[in-house]
Amino acid sequence: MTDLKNEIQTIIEETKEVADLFYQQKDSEGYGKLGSVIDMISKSIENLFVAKVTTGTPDFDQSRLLETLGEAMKAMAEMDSVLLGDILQYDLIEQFEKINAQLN
Amino acid sequence: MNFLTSNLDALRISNAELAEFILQEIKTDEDKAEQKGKIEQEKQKEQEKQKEQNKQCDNSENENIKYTYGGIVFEEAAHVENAVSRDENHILSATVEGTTYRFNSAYRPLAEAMTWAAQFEWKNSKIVASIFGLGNGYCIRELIKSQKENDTILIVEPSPKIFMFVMTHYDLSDILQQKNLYIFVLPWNLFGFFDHLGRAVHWSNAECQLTIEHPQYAKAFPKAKELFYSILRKNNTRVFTDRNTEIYFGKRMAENTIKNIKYMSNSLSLESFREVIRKEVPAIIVSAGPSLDGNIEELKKAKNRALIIATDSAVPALLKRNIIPDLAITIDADKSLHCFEAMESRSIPLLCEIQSTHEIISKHTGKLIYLHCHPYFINLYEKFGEHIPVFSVGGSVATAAFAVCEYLNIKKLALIGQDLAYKGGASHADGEVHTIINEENGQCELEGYYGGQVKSRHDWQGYLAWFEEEILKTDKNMLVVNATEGGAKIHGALQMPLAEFIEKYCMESYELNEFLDSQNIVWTPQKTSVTDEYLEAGLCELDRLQKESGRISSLCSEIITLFDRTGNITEHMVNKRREVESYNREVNEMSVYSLIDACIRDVTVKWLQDVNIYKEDKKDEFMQFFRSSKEIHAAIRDMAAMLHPLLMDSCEWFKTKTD
Repeated sequence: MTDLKNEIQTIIEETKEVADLFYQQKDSEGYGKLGSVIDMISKSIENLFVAKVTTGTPDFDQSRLLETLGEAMKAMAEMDSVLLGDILQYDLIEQFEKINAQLN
Repeated sequence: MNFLTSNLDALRISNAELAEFILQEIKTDEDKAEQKGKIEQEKQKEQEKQKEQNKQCDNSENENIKYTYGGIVFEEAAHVENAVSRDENHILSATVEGTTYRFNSAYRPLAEAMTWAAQFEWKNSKIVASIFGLGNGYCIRELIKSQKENDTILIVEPSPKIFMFVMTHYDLSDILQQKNLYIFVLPWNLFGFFDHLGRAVHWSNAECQLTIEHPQYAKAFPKAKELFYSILRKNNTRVFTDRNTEIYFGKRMAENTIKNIKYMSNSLSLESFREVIRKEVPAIIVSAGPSLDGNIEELKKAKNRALIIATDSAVPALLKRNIIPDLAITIDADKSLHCFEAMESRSIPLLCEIQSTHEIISKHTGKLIYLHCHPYFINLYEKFGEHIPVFSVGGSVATAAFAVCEYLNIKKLALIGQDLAYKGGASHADGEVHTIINEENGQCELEGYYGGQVKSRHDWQGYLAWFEEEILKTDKNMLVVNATEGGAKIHGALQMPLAEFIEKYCMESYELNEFLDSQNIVWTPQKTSVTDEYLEAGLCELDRLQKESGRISSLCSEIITLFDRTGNITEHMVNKRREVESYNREVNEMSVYSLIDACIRDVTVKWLQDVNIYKEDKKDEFMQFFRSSKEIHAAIRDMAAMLHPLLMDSCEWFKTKTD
């Protein structure tokens, strides 16, 4: 569980960095880092699901998380980097922070 | 809530010109609205008529709005809107060419602005931040928090529509009243951006510039962005070219200035010339490019029908064909005497600077008209109660002639011989080849007068940029015709053969020689006496500089030795630094400072070019002050010794006039 907490914490930090890059109009750098963050998020969603099923923690809305990722992809497709930054900063990070609060 | 009035009040204090443009724009909109109202009424009648005939009208607004400035077509916002963000702040958006751009975060625009602004470093001194886009002020407000007293912020807003919207819907008074912050709206007052940038950026802070794009502006206004960066690049080129010119010619300029003092009493002012020259007189600037050979004979038809100004290099070619220009112009400190070898060339009224080649000025028998003065003499003319214009001359005689024509409010101007390119192997008329320093490394290609590419070099490329920038600034106030009929294309200038220009615009005859002859040189005994006192004071200053700068240089040397021995900064060193800084302030106030400064440019550039760059190592920064002061004051001491006998000579000459 500690490993999972650390994993989520890393995701939060990396996502914040990526969001800041988009706010600073450093789009190529942002998209460059976003790829690896999305990979990390995909793996962690699996791990979170397994943890939820086996231990009942954390309690999170998987479909909402996936929906947020979908909105992020849409912002990417529309090349709206500031909106992408917003979704990462305020929607995605918020959900991961709630998840992390539940992990020991 | 409407903030226009309060914003205008704030703007009037910092930028009265822009406030005036806004008021004119409001009036134009009111007139247009009234007109539109009438048109709408008629349109409605027409629509009803068509409806009766079962025809449908397309009433959609044209979203591809543009405007033209300096011959370039720029994008403009069709719609501008405000929306509310998730945290109940404002989001500014605009539709440009069918695409809607949001200039703020839809969630938390203030937090976004803070994160965006945090990427810019403001540690250096005398920063000049050029910003593309005003937006709704949120981002600018965050930047201002980092602005120090000696930093300058220049904002270029490419959309008048967005600017008016924001001025109406947002309280910008804190931004508009910010010290050393200036706003330029394309196309209203963009010329102000050229001027402010030119004044704010110096070789000592050129590396301390910040170039900033407001989020989304580059995407929304690509053409304006291109112009913005072009202006910055050209300004940087100018800064370093001017610096290099001073390094190379500084001593010669100072020597010429002092030696040419005696001819001041025999000169006319450009200001008096401006007051009497008739605005409808067209002008032709004759440069010595290789294409001059092709149309020089046409000039005979323009004699007494246009003001013909010949650059120094073009004078021999004109005299060879018995064409006497109305004015010649020379500005270089080290010009070849070949241009004024012929006796008849020396009687042509001569536009010059006080630092122009002494050997040319001293032999000239015609009237001298100073373009403007070396700073050493601006102070003197202020003592006479006279105003000497100060303007950028662009670095060449042709650009200087252009600047003079702008100053004289000439409305129609033709350039001939302005190739700014090679023709075959020739650089000048009559097949002549004049080379410059580093010529082989500065070769380039430019767009040709007739299309394609032409071979050019770095200094001509710089002058071309200057012409294009000036033409952009003059906009509709002056018709500029490139009648070179060869060489490089000058964007913004209308291309027309010289014969056609003369036929179209040089129809009336003017008695220019009579006018010039009638201009009396006003030099009074009082001026002689004031000048004598001024020069005497300058001699005393040079005496002090020889003595005191020598002492200061030695003092700095001692401090450096002490530090090298101990590695520590002591109170004694801090006190000595204060002593040197106080002496520096005294030197800066001296009348001869501008002369000395030109002479030691190579030393000051070497030691001060990174003076405004932030340094982590504070001890090293402290000691760098003494290292640079040691060298600079040694150079000041030597130059003061060199200039002293020259100034003494001029002083003696004025004494004989007083006696």
